[in-house]
Amino acid sequence: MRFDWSYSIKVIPTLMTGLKYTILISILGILLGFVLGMLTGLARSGKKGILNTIASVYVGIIRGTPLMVQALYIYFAIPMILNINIPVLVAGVLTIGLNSGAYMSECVRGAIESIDIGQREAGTCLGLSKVQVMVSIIIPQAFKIMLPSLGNQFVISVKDTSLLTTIGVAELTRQATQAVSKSFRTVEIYTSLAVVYLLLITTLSFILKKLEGRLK
Amino acid sequence: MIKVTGLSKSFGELEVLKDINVDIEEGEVVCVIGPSGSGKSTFLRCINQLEKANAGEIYYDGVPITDKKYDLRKLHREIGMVFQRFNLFPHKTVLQNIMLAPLKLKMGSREEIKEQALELLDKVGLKSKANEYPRNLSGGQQQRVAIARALAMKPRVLLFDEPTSALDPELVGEVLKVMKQLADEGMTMIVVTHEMGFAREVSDKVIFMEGGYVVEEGNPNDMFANPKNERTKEFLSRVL
Repeated sequence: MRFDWSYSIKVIPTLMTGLKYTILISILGILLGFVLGMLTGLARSGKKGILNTIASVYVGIIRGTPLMVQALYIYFAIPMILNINIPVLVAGVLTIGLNSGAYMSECVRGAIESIDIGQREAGTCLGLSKVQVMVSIIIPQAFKIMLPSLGNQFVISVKDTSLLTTIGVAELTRQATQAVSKSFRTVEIYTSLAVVYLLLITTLSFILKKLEGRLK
Repeated sequence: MIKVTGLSKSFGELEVLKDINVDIEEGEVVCVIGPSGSGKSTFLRCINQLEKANAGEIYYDGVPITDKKYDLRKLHREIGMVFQRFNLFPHKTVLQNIMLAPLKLKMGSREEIKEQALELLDKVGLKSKANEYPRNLSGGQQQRVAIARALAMKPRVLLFDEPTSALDPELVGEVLKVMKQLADEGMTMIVVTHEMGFAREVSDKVIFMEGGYVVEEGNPNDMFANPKNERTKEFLSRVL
């Protein structure tokens, strides 16, 4: 076959439309995941109890099922069970959020449990409450430790948005497959697609590295 | 001020404290000595409830703190603790380490708390290190900061858990000096230590523990000169 650059270039505006959705879903999904990850990570690092159990079940379910099945379930099955309508973008954000949250939960728990018990004891012995010890002493130290693995999860989540193409989210990969189905310029268009992802992820990694450097 | 009656503590099968009975008066400096694994640190950690006893009572000003309903935060505001490994907060400067708890517990305005923190640093001879991070300090300096941090809560009692055991020998003196100064000022102190010189010179009472029991207690001169119990005698002959 002959590689025709013009198709690679021509598809760019279409890909940009998809990129907007990819970025939107990534940001909202990761934010949701971060909140879920922090909360469930804290619950899991704490005493055994109802919160710990709920968090463990959540992490177990998410880690035990593929992302694509989760997307299908959230977009098709849950609306039928609850008799509601979930817009596809919302389903996309929920999928990425719930999925990344479970993995971030593990990063958070690991980081919190890695902080020396003496830090907690020192805080307690100064008369601080459990929440104050957590917020002022444990979390700031744990955050530095968890940042590299959280960053790693951010990158994975951005890539995972491509799987949302199965439920019809108009993100980057979906735009590309549709463009291919119209023009059949498979090689040219998928090359552009790969390059756009590469640039996106490289930029994100760069920002994360800077952030990490500043926190150290 | 602190009264311990029939205190027992086990970790699983291992019984580390057996029927401990001790009285500590206000202003007293009590040194707890004994071989490693004798339960000294656990005893200290039971007093501020970092460890929960399996049996027995601890009274603080006549109030049973071993009672489940007792507000432990009140206890921790009044009974400070200095740890073997200092346990300074590595992400905070020396000054911030000292100011953290008074600020969180709203013990005064920021200015007042800062002024008090600087005074305490001056007291332990480290005013010039106020803006350093703990990692840039020697062990002895870190431990002195830890003492200042505990003092910032204006505690009535200070517990010391082997405060010099993690220090290089040449740094032990500077920490003991600060502790002696506190003792001279009338602070009630319970000190778990291997520093027999300090115990002999500074304490009002020495408690010798072995195998989870208080084997002997008494004033330091008597105990170091004429230990009554065979095991005390044997221990002292090994360490002195």
